[in-house]
Amino acid sequence: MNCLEFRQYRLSDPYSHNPNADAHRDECDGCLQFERGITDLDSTVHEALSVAVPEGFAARVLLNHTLQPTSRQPTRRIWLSMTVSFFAVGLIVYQYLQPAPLEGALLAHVDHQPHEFYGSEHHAISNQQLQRVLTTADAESDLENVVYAAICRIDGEEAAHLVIKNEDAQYTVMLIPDYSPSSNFEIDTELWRGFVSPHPAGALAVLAYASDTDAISRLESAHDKFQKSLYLSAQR
Amino acid sequence: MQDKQARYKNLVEAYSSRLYRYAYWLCGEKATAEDLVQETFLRAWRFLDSLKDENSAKRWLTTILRRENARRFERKQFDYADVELDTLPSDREDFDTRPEILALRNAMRLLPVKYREPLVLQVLDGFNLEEIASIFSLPRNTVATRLHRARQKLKKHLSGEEELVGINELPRI
Repeated sequence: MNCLEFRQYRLSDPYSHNPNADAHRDECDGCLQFERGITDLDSTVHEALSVAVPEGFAARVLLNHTLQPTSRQPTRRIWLSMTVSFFAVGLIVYQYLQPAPLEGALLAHVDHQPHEFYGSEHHAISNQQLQRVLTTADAESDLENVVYAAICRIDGEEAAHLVIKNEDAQYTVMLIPDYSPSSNFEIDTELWRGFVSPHPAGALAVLAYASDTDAISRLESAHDKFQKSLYLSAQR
Repeated sequence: MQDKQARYKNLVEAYSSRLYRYAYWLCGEKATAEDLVQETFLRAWRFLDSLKDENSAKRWLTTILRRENARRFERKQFDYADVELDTLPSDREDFDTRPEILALRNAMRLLPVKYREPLVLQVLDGFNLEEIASIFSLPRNTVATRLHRARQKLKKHLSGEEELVGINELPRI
């Protein structure tokens, strides 16, 4: 370190210890004097800057804190708004997480009858049996490959419960007369994927196992097909 | 809550005087300096939970105070910059009146704020270069250059080599 570097260094940072700077200072009288000059200057600067602090200032700050109305009112407001926000968010999350009434009833029903849909032993039921079940919803159908048809209770109301097996894909179709959703909605759970849509006979639910990739890939077209293939008796 | 109160009280007792002096040299006015420190501690109370390490309390409070000072300029009603110290004799009573101290104090007031502020933090509060750079969100070398120039300007002014003509200077006393 040379004299210029030392002086530049000390002008910006007089208090740090740097072995190179200390070594240079020990060998250079001029820089030693320079450093003393900086230390003296800083000492005077420190005195000049040390303005008197008002008496009892810390106590005043603490008193101001305890008496500060603006420090309390916002706190109450913040707590109130936080509480309201918390409940609002909680309600939204609850509503988001809670299945819609129909969705919940549907899932509760199909989750308890998995054996109805598994296995390859199912054979297509007779058209007579199918029409008898569909009568529950005042509906008729020309659907084929219906391997299961039963009258079930969804949320206490009778509904037609069908299982349709086309090649590799299997669909559960529910026709629920006592529900009429205003628009389509999706079902997407760990076990099930599906659509629920308004139908002239009530609500039509088309579900497939989430693990049934063939069925899932054709779910939308299957739903459209079932919409067209199930119709009110009076319309035929 | 009692822990928070005790923690807050410790902070006020430990740092209010330092902050007041720094605030004074930031704004140049006693009443404003008091307001700045009060506002700083009110804000500190609100965000006290965010202060995880007590060792960084001084830097944390200094940063809050700088921001409060910046807000002072945003809020026009707190524009004390036009207040002449001549109208506030009480400010003078507290001062050391030795000629060399008065001269240096006037020189500090004439020093542009970008040089004065880091020098106050280094000499008065004992912050090192890294800490000052962190408070100002500036590179360390920029702060080093400003401190270097601050001392050079003070030395030259005091020796009569160069007259300080500050742009952002504080009112003379």
